[in-house]
Order: sequence, then structure tokens, then C-alpha cells
Amino acid sequence: MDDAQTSDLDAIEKMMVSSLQPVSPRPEFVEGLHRRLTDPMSPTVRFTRRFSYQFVLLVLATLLSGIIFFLTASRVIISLIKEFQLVNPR
Amino acid sequence: MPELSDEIALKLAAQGDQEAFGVLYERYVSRIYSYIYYRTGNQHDAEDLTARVFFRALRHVENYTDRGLPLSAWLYRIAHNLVANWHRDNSRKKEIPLDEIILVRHGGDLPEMVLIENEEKENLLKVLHRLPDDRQQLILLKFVEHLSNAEIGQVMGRSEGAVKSLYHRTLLSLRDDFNHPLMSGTTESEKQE
Repeated sequence: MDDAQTSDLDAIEKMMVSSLQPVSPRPEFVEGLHRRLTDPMSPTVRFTRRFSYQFVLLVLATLLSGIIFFLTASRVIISLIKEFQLVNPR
Repeated sequence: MPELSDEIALKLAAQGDQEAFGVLYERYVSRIYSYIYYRTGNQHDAEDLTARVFFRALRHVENYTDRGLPLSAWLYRIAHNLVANWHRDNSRKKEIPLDEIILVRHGGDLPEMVLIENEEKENLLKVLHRLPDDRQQLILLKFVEHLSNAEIGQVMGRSEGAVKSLYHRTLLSLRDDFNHPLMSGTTESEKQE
């Protein structure tokens, strides 16, 4: 490597040393995130196993309700159709 | 608690000690934020990604096994992966508000000097953001985080020699990209001599 090339690279290094300074986060952000990370009651912290279990139960209950609703609605519609045929025979 | 070593704090955190995790968080949050800030170029995304890094670390701290990889390297890896996903999700890289980063005014400097300095910094950052991901990572870890080549190697999963070689190639490509503003001064002064 010749001298000119070395001095070019040195100049770039010097510029990077002076330009790339660490940037500090906002203190409110640091404190807020600390609270969220270490507060077990915070809902935004993480999904604990218990929460996941509850979530699965909720999904199952929703599915079951959906099936019951679907069956009931089908029976109602079928009854209405039958009723309509009785009232208006061909 | 703050005097705990990383290893002990990690063990405690893995056992569910949130205070110990808080100690580790306090120790590394500024470094991780600074790294992400330079990669994303804006405060909003830097804060969002920093929070994700620590939530991910908290979720996986039980599985973290010490295989000679320092905690900082593990956190930088998480940060790097999240930043890579962030860039992928943003099909077009977001405009980097360079002014926010570079306009650091040194007390007592003449305004003209500050302007010239800021212009140089702006050019440098523009060129840096055009570099491939791994090279940006290397430059930031070296100059913002002041890590050694060996430490950078641990973060990037490369040998120290490979880091040195990549660094040299990065400098050469920076010189080519950044040629005119930086080198013209040198050439002019050489000519005068």
C-alpha cells in the first residue's frame, strides 16, 4: 500500500472517529422500558404461560359458542322454511 | 445489585429474577439504542426496536447458555436481526434524517467550521448508509461502540482475521465512494506544497 492510499484511509478513519459519536436514549424512554420489563403486572411485558393457557381457553370457548350458534341458527332457518311450506302449500 | 457481574445477573435473570434483568438492561440499553439509532436513523424506530431487543432477550434469557459469547454480543446479534427485518419490512429504506444525528455543535467552534464539519459528517453518513448491512454493522460496532476486532467477530460470527479483512475492504470502498469531498482537500494542499 502506498503512502497516499494510507493517508486517505487514515483520513476516513479520523472522520469516522469524530463523526460517529454514541447517541443517548431519552431518559423517559429508558425508565419506561425498565418499568415495562421488570413489572410483572404490566400487560405489555410478555405472555406468561398462564396467559397463554387462558388465551387457548378463550379460543376454545369462542369456537364452541360459534358451533352452538351455527346449529341453532340452522335449526331456526329449517323450521322457518318448513313453516313457510305448511302455510303456503303448492 | 448494580455491582453484579454479567454472568451472575444472567443466572439470576434466567431463574426469573426481574431485578437482575433490570441491572443488565441498565448496563446495555444505551449501547444497543445507539447502535440501532445509527442503523435506522430515527428516534421512533430506534426506541421501538430497542424495546423489542430487550423483550426478546427477556423471553429467551432462560435458554441463553454461556458458550464464551458475551452478553453484549448476544444482544447486538438480536439487534442486528431485528434491524435487518425492519429494513426488509420497509421495502424502500426510510429516509434518514441525518441532521438529527450529525448536528452536534461543539461549544466555542466558529459557525463556519461547524457547517463544514456537519457537511462532512452528512456525506459520511450518506455513504455509510449505502454500504451493505454487514459493513455498516462493522463500522458502527467499531466506531460508535468501540469494540475490538475480536469482539466484533463474536457479534458477527466471524474470525478476527475476517473482520480485519472486511474492515480494510470497507475502508477502500468508503474511500472510493467518498472520494471527492474528503480527498480534494488533501490533494489541494499537496499541490500547494
